[in-house]
Amino acid sequence: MTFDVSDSHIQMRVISQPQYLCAIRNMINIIGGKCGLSSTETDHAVLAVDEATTNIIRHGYKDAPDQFINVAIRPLNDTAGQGMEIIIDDQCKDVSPDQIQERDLSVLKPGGLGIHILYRIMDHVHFEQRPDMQGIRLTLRKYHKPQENGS
Amino acid sequence: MSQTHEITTLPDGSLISCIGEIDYSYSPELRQIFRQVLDTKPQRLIIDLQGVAYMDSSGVAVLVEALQTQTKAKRQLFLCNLQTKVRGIFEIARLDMVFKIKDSVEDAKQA
Repeated sequence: MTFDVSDSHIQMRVISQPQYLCAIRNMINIIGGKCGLSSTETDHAVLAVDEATTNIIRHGYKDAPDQFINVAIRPLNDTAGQGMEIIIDDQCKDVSPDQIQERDLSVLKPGGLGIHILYRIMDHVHFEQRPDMQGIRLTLRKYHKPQENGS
Repeated sequence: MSQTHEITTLPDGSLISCIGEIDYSYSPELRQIFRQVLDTKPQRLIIDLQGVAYMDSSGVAVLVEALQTQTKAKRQLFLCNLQTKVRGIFEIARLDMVFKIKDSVEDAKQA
Protein backbone atom coordinates (compact mmCIF):
# COMPACT_ATOMS: atom_id res chain seq x y z
CA MET A 1 0.00 0.00 0.00
CA THR A 2 1.32 3.43 -0.91
CA PHE A 3 0.45 6.34 1.32
CA ASP A 4 -0.27 9.77 0.02
CA VAL A 5 2.37 12.44 0.33
CA SER A 6 -0.13 14.47 2.35
CA ASP A 7 0.41 11.95 5.19
CA SER A 8 4.04 12.99 5.45
CA HIS A 9 5.42 14.83 8.46
CA ILE A 10 8.17 16.59 6.55
CA GLN A 11 8.48 17.60 2.91
CA MET A 12 11.44 19.11 1.11
CA ARG A 13 11.39 20.54 -2.40
CA VAL A 14 14.86 20.65 -3.87
CA ILE A 15 16.06 22.04 -7.16
CA SER A 16 17.91 19.52 -9.33
CA GLN A 17 21.42 20.70 -8.51
CA PRO A 18 23.96 18.27 -7.00
CA GLN A 19 25.21 20.88 -4.52
CA TYR A 20 21.96 20.39 -2.55
CA LEU A 21 22.23 16.60 -2.24
CA CYS A 22 23.94 17.16 1.12
CA ALA A 23 20.84 18.98 2.40
CA ILE A 24 18.65 15.97 1.61
CA ARG A 25 21.18 13.65 3.26
CA ASN A 26 21.32 15.80 6.37
CA MET A 27 17.53 15.82 6.66
CA ILE A 28 17.30 12.02 6.45
CA ASN A 29 20.17 11.69 8.91
CA ILE A 30 18.41 13.87 11.47
CA ILE A 31 15.01 12.22 11.09
CA GLY A 32 16.22 8.59 11.01
CA GLY A 33 16.86 8.39 14.75
CA LYS A 34 13.57 10.11 15.52
CA CYS A 35 11.82 7.35 13.54
CA GLY A 36 13.51 4.70 15.65
CA LEU A 37 16.25 3.69 13.23
CA SER A 38 19.72 2.77 14.47
CA SER A 39 22.72 4.73 13.23
CA THR A 40 23.54 2.01 10.68
CA GLU A 41 19.95 1.86 9.47
CA THR A 42 19.87 5.64 9.21
CA ASP A 43 23.12 5.57 7.21
CA HIS A 44 21.46 3.13 4.80
CA ALA A 45 18.41 5.36 4.42
CA VAL A 46 20.71 8.35 3.78
CA LEU A 47 22.64 6.44 1.10
CA ALA A 48 19.46 5.15 -0.54
CA VAL A 49 17.90 8.60 -0.81
CA ASP A 50 21.19 10.04 -2.08
CA GLU A 51 21.41 7.35 -4.77
CA ALA A 52 17.79 7.84 -5.79
CA THR A 53 17.98 11.63 -6.03
CA THR A 54 21.33 11.47 -7.85
CA ASN A 55 19.76 9.12 -10.40
CA ILE A 56 16.91 11.58 -10.92
CA ILE A 57 19.30 14.51 -11.50
CA ARG A 58 21.69 12.54 -13.67
CA HIS A 59 19.48 10.23 -15.69
CA GLY A 60 15.95 11.57 -15.28
CA TYR A 61 16.65 15.27 -15.70
CA LYS A 62 19.90 14.74 -17.66
CA ASP A 63 21.64 17.26 -15.38
CA ALA A 64 19.16 20.06 -16.13
CA PRO A 65 19.61 22.40 -13.14
CA ASP A 66 16.10 23.91 -13.11
CA GLN A 67 13.89 20.93 -12.29
CA PHE A 68 12.53 19.87 -8.91
CA ILE A 69 12.56 16.84 -6.65
CA ASN A 70 10.12 16.41 -3.78
CA VAL A 71 11.15 14.34 -0.78
CA ALA A 72 8.46 13.49 1.79
CA ILE A 73 9.07 11.62 5.04
CA ARG A 74 6.84 10.07 7.63
CA PRO A 75 7.50 7.77 10.55
CA LEU A 76 6.20 4.21 10.35
CA ASN A 77 4.77 2.17 13.19
CA ASP A 78 2.93 -0.77 11.69
CA THR A 79 2.93 -4.56 11.77
CA ALA A 80 6.47 -4.61 10.32
CA GLY A 81 7.70 -2.42 13.15
CA GLN A 82 9.03 1.08 13.61
CA GLY A 83 10.76 2.93 10.84
CA MET A 84 10.70 5.57 8.17
CA GLU A 85 8.95 5.96 4.83
CA ILE A 86 10.41 8.26 2.22
CA ILE A 87 8.53 9.21 -0.96
CA ILE A 88 10.59 10.80 -3.73
CA ASP A 89 8.68 12.41 -6.59
CA ASP A 90 10.18 13.75 -9.80
CA GLN A 91 8.74 15.18 -13.01
CA CYS A 92 10.94 13.27 -15.41
CA LYS A 93 9.73 12.88 -18.96
CA ASP A 94 10.33 9.77 -21.03
CA VAL A 95 11.10 7.51 -18.06
CA SER A 96 8.83 4.63 -17.08
CA PRO A 97 9.13 2.51 -13.93
CA ASP A 98 9.80 -0.56 -16.09
CA GLN A 99 13.05 0.99 -17.35
CA ILE A 100 14.52 1.22 -13.86
CA GLN A 101 16.42 -2.05 -13.42
CA GLU A 102 19.35 -3.41 -11.46
CA ARG A 103 22.38 -4.30 -13.52
CA ASP A 104 24.50 -7.44 -13.40
CA LEU A 105 27.21 -6.79 -10.80
CA SER A 106 29.40 -9.66 -12.02
CA VAL A 107 30.66 -7.35 -14.77
CA LEU A 108 33.10 -4.74 -13.43
CA LYS A 109 32.14 -1.38 -14.86
CA PRO A 110 31.63 2.10 -13.47
CA GLY A 111 28.07 3.26 -12.90
CA GLY A 112 24.72 1.57 -12.59
CA LEU A 113 25.18 0.70 -8.93
CA GLY A 114 22.52 3.01 -7.51
CA ILE A 115 19.49 0.79 -8.09
CA HIS A 116 21.31 -2.27 -6.75
CA ILE A 117 22.14 -0.32 -3.61
CA LEU A 118 18.50 0.69 -3.09
CA TYR A 119 17.25 -2.90 -3.22
CA ARG A 120 20.13 -4.15 -1.10
CA ILE A 121 19.78 -1.80 1.85
CA MET A 122 16.11 -0.82 2.02
CA ASP A 123 13.21 -3.01 3.18
CA HIS A 124 10.79 -1.73 0.57
CA VAL A 125 11.52 -0.19 -2.84
CA HIS A 126 8.71 0.63 -5.24
CA PHE A 127 8.77 2.68 -8.43
CA GLU A 128 5.51 3.77 -10.01
CA GLN A 129 4.09 6.39 -12.29
CA ARG A 130 3.04 9.41 -10.25
CA PRO A 131 -0.70 9.40 -9.60
CA ASP A 132 -1.02 13.17 -9.74
CA MET A 133 1.13 14.23 -12.68
CA GLN A 134 3.95 13.29 -15.05
CA GLY A 135 6.95 11.70 -13.40
CA ILE A 136 8.04 8.80 -11.25
CA ARG A 137 7.28 8.18 -7.59
CA LEU A 138 9.73 6.13 -5.57
CA THR A 139 8.60 4.82 -2.20
CA LEU A 140 11.33 3.63 0.18
CA ARG A 141 10.84 2.09 3.61
CA LYS A 142 13.38 1.23 6.25
CA TYR A 143 12.41 -0.57 9.45
CA HIS A 144 14.33 -0.90 12.69
CA LYS A 145 15.70 -4.39 13.27
CA PRO A 146 17.16 -4.78 16.75
CA GLN A 147 19.71 -7.38 15.64
CA GLU A 148 21.46 -5.01 13.20
CA ASN A 149 24.72 -3.39 14.26
CA GLY A 150 24.37 -0.01 15.85
CA SER A 151 20.92 -0.72 17.34
CA MET B 1 31.86 20.24 4.12
CA SER B 2 33.87 21.31 1.09
CA GLN B 3 35.86 18.75 -0.81
CA THR B 4 39.50 18.92 -1.69
CA HIS B 5 42.43 16.70 -2.57
CA GLU B 6 46.20 16.55 -2.40
CA ILE B 7 48.50 14.82 -4.86
CA THR B 8 51.89 13.56 -3.68
CA THR B 9 54.54 12.12 -5.99
CA LEU B 10 55.97 8.79 -4.85
CA PRO B 11 59.19 7.12 -6.09
CA ASP B 12 57.08 4.65 -8.06
CA GLY B 13 53.83 6.50 -8.57
CA SER B 14 51.35 8.88 -6.98
CA LEU B 15 49.31 9.28 -3.83
CA ILE B 16 45.95 11.05 -4.02
CA SER B 17 44.53 12.06 -0.65
CA CYS B 18 40.83 12.96 -0.79
CA ILE B 19 39.04 15.03 1.82
CA GLY B 20 35.31 15.65 2.18
CA GLU B 21 32.10 13.95 1.12
CA ILE B 22 32.25 12.44 -2.35
CA ASP B 23 28.87 12.65 -4.02
CA TYR B 24 27.61 13.72 -7.44
CA SER B 25 28.43 17.36 -6.66
CA TYR B 26 32.14 16.45 -6.56
CA SER B 27 32.64 13.18 -8.44
CA PRO B 28 32.82 14.80 -11.94
CA GLU B 29 35.64 17.06 -10.72
CA LEU B 30 37.32 14.14 -8.99
CA ARG B 31 37.14 12.17 -12.27
CA GLN B 32 39.12 14.92 -14.02
CA ILE B 33 41.72 14.95 -11.24
CA PHE B 34 42.12 11.20 -11.48
CA ARG B 35 42.44 11.32 -15.27
CA GLN B 36 45.25 13.86 -14.98
CA VAL B 37 47.10 11.63 -12.54
CA LEU B 38 46.41 8.48 -14.58
CA ASP B 39 47.85 10.22 -17.64
CA THR B 40 51.22 10.31 -15.84
CA LYS B 41 51.10 6.48 -15.89
CA PRO B 42 51.86 5.89 -12.18
CA GLN B 43 53.10 2.35 -11.59
CA ARG B 44 51.56 2.52 -8.12
CA LEU B 45 48.52 4.70 -7.47
CA ILE B 46 47.48 4.99 -3.83
CA ILE B 47 44.18 6.64 -2.95
CA ASP B 48 43.98 7.71 0.67
CA LEU B 49 40.35 8.01 1.81
CA GLN B 50 41.02 8.81 5.46
CA GLY B 51 39.40 12.23 5.07
CA VAL B 52 36.32 10.90 3.31
CA ALA B 53 33.40 10.35 5.67
CA TYR B 54 30.85 9.66 2.95
CA MET B 55 30.90 8.36 -0.61
CA ASP B 56 28.05 7.46 -2.94
CA SER B 57 28.08 5.28 -6.05
CA SER B 58 29.13 8.19 -8.28
CA GLY B 59 32.36 8.34 -6.27
CA VAL B 60 32.74 4.58 -6.42
CA ALA B 61 32.35 4.79 -10.22
CA VAL B 62 35.34 7.16 -10.42
CA LEU B 63 37.45 4.66 -8.49
CA VAL B 64 36.26 1.76 -10.69
CA GLU B 65 37.29 3.73 -13.79
CA ALA B 66 40.72 4.35 -12.29
CA LEU B 67 41.08 0.68 -11.36
CA GLN B 68 40.16 -0.38 -14.89
CA THR B 69 42.74 2.00 -16.38
CA GLN B 70 45.48 0.80 -14.05
CA THR B 71 44.65 -2.88 -14.47
CA LYS B 72 44.53 -2.64 -18.27
CA ALA B 73 48.01 -1.07 -18.22
CA LYS B 74 49.29 -3.67 -15.71
CA ARG B 75 49.78 -1.01 -13.08
CA GLN B 76 48.60 -1.07 -9.47
CA LEU B 77 45.93 0.79 -7.55
CA PHE B 78 45.44 0.66 -3.79
CA LEU B 79 42.75 2.17 -1.60
CA CYS B 80 43.60 2.86 2.02
CA ASN B 81 42.22 4.25 5.27
CA LEU B 82 38.57 3.59 4.42
CA GLN B 83 36.16 4.83 7.09
CA THR B 84 33.36 2.47 8.12
CA LYS B 85 30.63 4.11 6.04
CA VAL B 86 32.82 4.22 2.95
CA ARG B 87 33.88 0.60 3.35
CA GLY B 88 30.18 -0.23 3.66
CA ILE B 89 29.32 0.97 0.16
CA PHE B 90 32.15 -1.11 -1.30
CA GLU B 91 30.70 -4.14 0.48
CA ILE B 92 27.16 -3.37 -0.68
CA ALA B 93 28.41 -2.99 -4.26
CA ARG B 94 30.46 -6.20 -3.85
CA LEU B 95 33.64 -4.32 -4.72
CA ASP B 96 35.50 -4.92 -1.45
CA MET B 97 37.07 -8.04 -2.98
CA VAL B 98 37.82 -6.33 -6.30
CA PHE B 99 39.92 -3.44 -4.99
CA LYS B 100 43.16 -3.88 -3.06
CA ILE B 101 42.24 -2.23 0.23
CA LYS B 102 44.96 -1.47 2.79
CA ASP B 103 44.76 -0.17 6.35
CA SER B 104 47.30 2.61 5.83
CA VAL B 105 49.29 4.51 3.22
CA GLU B 106 52.44 2.76 4.49
CA ASP B 107 50.85 -0.65 3.92
CA ALA B 108 49.92 0.41 0.40
CA LYS B 109 53.45 1.65 -0.30
CA GLN B 110 54.94 -1.66 0.80
CA ALA B 111 52.41 -3.96 -0.87
